[in-house]
This record gives sequence, C-alpha cells and structure tokens, in this order.
Amino acid sequence: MEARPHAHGRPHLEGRLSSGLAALAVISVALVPLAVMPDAIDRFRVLKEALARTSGILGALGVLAAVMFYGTERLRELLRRRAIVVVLAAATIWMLISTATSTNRAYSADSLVTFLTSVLFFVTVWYAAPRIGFVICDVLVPLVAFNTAMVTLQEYGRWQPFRVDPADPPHLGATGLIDNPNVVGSYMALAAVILVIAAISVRGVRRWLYAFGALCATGGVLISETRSALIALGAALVLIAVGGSAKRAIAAVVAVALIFGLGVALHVPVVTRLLAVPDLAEQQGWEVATSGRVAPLMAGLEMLRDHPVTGVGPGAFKSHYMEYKLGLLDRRAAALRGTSGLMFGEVHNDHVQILAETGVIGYALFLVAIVVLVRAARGRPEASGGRGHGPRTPLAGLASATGVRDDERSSRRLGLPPVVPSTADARARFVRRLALPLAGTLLVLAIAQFPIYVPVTRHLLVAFAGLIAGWSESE
Amino acid sequence: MIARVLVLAAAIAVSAWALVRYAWEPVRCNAVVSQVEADTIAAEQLPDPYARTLRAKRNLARLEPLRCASEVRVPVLVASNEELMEHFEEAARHYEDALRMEQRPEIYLALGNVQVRLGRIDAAVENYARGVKFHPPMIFEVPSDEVRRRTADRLHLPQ
Repeated sequence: MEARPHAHGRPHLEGRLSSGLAALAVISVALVPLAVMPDAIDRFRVLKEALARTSGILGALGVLAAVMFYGTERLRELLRRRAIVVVLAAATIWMLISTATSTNRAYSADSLVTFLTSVLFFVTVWYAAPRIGFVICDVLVPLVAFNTAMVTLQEYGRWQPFRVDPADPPHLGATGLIDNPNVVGSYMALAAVILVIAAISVRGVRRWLYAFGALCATGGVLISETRSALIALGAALVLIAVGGSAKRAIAAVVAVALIFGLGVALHVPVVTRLLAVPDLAEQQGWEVATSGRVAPLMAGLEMLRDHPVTGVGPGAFKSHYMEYKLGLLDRRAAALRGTSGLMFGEVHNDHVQILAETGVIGYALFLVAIVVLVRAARGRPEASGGRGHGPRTPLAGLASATGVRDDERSSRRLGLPPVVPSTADARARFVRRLALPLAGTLLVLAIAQFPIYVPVTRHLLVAFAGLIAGWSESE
Repeated sequence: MIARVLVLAAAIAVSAWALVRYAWEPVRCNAVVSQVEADTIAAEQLPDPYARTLRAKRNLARLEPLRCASEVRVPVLVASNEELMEHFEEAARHYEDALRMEQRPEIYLALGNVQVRLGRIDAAVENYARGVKFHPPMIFEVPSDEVRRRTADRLHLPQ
C-alpha cells in the first residue's frame, strides 16, 4: 500500500494517532507496576499480565489504523530494519510450532498469547518511538521511589496493606505493588540501569531526577535482598563503563568493588547472604544455599534432554515439574540434599526455562534477538552534541512538555516545526548506551530469576527494547 | 475508503474479542476463583451437611461460566465442592483432570482422600505416595493411620 497524499487535516489526525500510541506506551509502562488485585490469591501477575496484553492489542489496532488511513511511510521505515523484522517473524513462527507440538496445549496457548501481545506492544513502541520522549523514563522515577518506600515499610513491619499468611517469612511480604521480593529486586535492577543511563544521557533537571530515581531503584534492590539482582546491577555498571572510556571502566569497577566492600563492612543483608552461599552449600547442600533452585534447574535440563528441538511447550514447565523432580529424587538424590517440597512454576533461570519450553532453536532465537537489538543500537554512530534551540511553536512546546516528540522526518510530513536536535541526539545517545548494559542485566538476572516470565519485568523490557529499535533508527 | 473502514471495523471487533478473552476473562477468573476458594474453605467448616451442600452448589454455579483453560484451581475447586456434596466419583474425576493440567502434591493428596472415601485404598496409597515423596511432611495429612502406614511402607519411610 502506497502512502496516500494527505487530505486537509489528515496530518493533524495522524499526529494525534501517533501521539496516542506514544501515550499508550508511556501509560502502560507506568500502570503495569501499579496494578494489583488486593483480595485475589494471585494479587499481582494476573492483572499486570492483562494490562500488558491490553497495551499490545490496543497498540496493534492503533498501528493498523495509522497504516490504513495515513499511509505506510512509517511502516516501511520499520520494515527496512530487516534483522529485527526477521527475528520477530522467526520467533513468532517458532512459538507457533512449539505450541503446536506442546505437551500441554492449554498452558502453551496462554503463553503464546502473552508472546504475541508482547510482540504487538514492541511493534507499537517501535512505531511510535519518534513521538515518545524521555517522559517514558520520567514515569519510572515516581514508580521506583514509591515502591522502594513501600517495600522498605513492609520489610521493617511499619505498613502492610496486604493480607500476609502468618506461616510465611515476613520478608515475603515486602512486595510493594510489584510482586514478591525477588521480582522487586529484578524490576529495580532493570529500572536502575535505565535511569543511570538516562542520567548520563541528558542534561539539566532531568539528569538529577534520573539520578534520584537510580538511587531509589538501587535502594530497592538492597531492600529486596535479591542476590542475583545485586550481581546483575554490578555487571551492568561495569558494562555501562565499558561503553565509555577505559578510565570510566576502571572507575566503575573500583566503584562496584567499593560499594560491595561497604556492604560487607555494614553487614547489608543481601551482601552477607551472598557471601554465605559457599559455606551454606558445603554444610547443607546447594539446594539449601540457592533457596531450592537446583531442583527446578535440573528438572528443566531433563525436560530439554527429553525434548531438545521443540521443548515441552511454552508455559508447560510447571505442568511437568513435579514428575521430573520425582524422577530426580530417585536418580540424583545426593544433588538434591536438603530439598523442600516447594512447587516451582518457573525454573528461576530463564535460560534453562526457555531451553526446556521452546528447545534449542527457541533459545537460539532469544539470544539472536538480544544480539540484533544491541547491534542495532550500537551500530548507529554517536550523535553529535548540541543543546538545541528549544521548542519553537506552541504545539512543539506542548509536545516538549508532555515528552511526546517528533523526529525530523515525521515533522516534515506532518507540517510541524523541525525536531529539536538535542532531543533526537539525547535519545540516540541514550539507546546506544542502554542496549548493552540492559541486555547484560537481563542475561545475568535470568541466571537466577525469571524476568522474561513475570509480566512487570517483561513489560519494562519489551517497552525499552521497542525504544531501542525506534530511537536507534539511522536518519 | 469503504473497504478500509470495513477492515478497521473488523479489526476493532477482533480486538474487542481478544481483550475480553485474553485480558478481561483471566482477571475475572482470578477474582471469582479467589472468592470461591475462600467460600469453599468456609463451607468445609459448616457442621450442617445441608448447609454445606447448598454452599457447595452455589460455589459450583459461580465456577461454571468461567473460561479459564489454564487455571488449575478451577478443576480443583470443582472437585472440592463435589466432595463437599459427597459426590466422590465426580470429585475424583475433576482431581484427575487437574492432574492432567498440572501435577501438584496437594492435588495427589486430595485425590487420595477421595479414593479412600470410595474404598479404592490401593489407588489412594499410590497417590499419597507421590505427594509425600515430593513433600514428605504431607504424610501427616493422610487421614487414616492404616493408610498412612501403607503409604510409609510404599516409600520405605521409617514409621
């Protein structure tokens, strides 16, 4: 379909539709971490998943309307990014195959819906990226500040708005509005990485706002006592520095070492728990030292051994975990010394879970997707600096104030004033610096957590992956 | 233009269906299942069998219209309420459905309990054994001393 000549008033309508898609992306990033069903058994994930799915479905409808009525120019820009398009298509086809061959069709169909709506949301953010401003980072600051404050109050028993089972350890009640403490740690680590990079990519008040947000998020990681999130954050800081100069890299490594040393000296719980792992493993076994993660890990690897090509099917790990663990108790009892009767719905290692559920090809596609996005972001040369001249018209001023902005090409098409150069530069700098550390954080977190399988962390990752694709477009 | 409007109308209809089916239904399912679970536990405490049956029927009526294909708690709750009405065959069938969806130790325990009521002790011991092997403290939840002893023997556990 060719781009149609715009009738009178159409550019304005198209602008509104694109701004609407941008607003949808920002609002969903803000809403998903706040959504809870206080009285339900599954207090967090179901509603967050529903909102994430809603964002994908509404976004797809908006993109379709924009393409049908206002031309295919933006769509063709997207299709020119062949590597991203091919990976998206290949992953979708593979998910369909893996679902068709699943050992539990009902669970896999549900996971397929999650995957497809995530792809739709990714495409929505990518499509609307020229109109999304740093407001998408702005909204993270109050989110992490509020949740860190709430988690702190819950952890120290000062305020608990939710009903907590008295049989559970009190620490499990430190959820904020996000999810259990491990998910809080994962979300905060990802948000901290995004906000640190945002702080070094912009100037003025926003820099301080993002620095404050990054501090709050780091505080959230510490309060959550999630060891893997702390390690992931350390790795991300090193990767951020590696993206800069050698001097910065050395400074970052020294800073991480100093912070860790301070954590040891002050007996910060998450640091002392991390250091206690080897002794605990020797005395009580790895199952105890890793909070029971060895059994789901071994079960996941056995599922991969039994279904190496297509896996057991997306989302089907939990339906087989018990039978695989019973088999392991017969054959590998020594490796599971100290195991508990805890049921695991996820492996708590996304690498192994993706392998177990979608096979070797599914996992290869997951890695390729990450590499393609990192290369897409880093392939663009560092944009030249410049402070820009600020908005020149009331409309551009409004766009600037709301953070919903336009790029140069879209501006020309819509008859708006040219894009503010510093905005485009800052966005390009941001995604160029963000891609590798965010990917690193995800890959490290995925060793002991499940950021891909939890809606709140997945939605954040998908949104910023879409931004990386959209803000890294070569001009 | 008309063709485009028609396509968009179709897309809106499909999106509305998808929103109801894949966003709204799971939320409704979570809310109803949570309420029914609480009501089922409350019904189990009722001393009067008639009141228990009435409550169980009401719970089943609330579960019936739900479309939660990937929610294992639905067949478990249906089975629990059938059990409250002393429909043990139906309860066993629904627990087996739940196990086909997802194997969980507490479902094996519940199925074992129903099979004891049906007099299928050998099958009950097998199911208890699976649950207890996964989560050993569950042995203390096996209701009868004799069946508990047989389950322990089956797993070569110390008495």
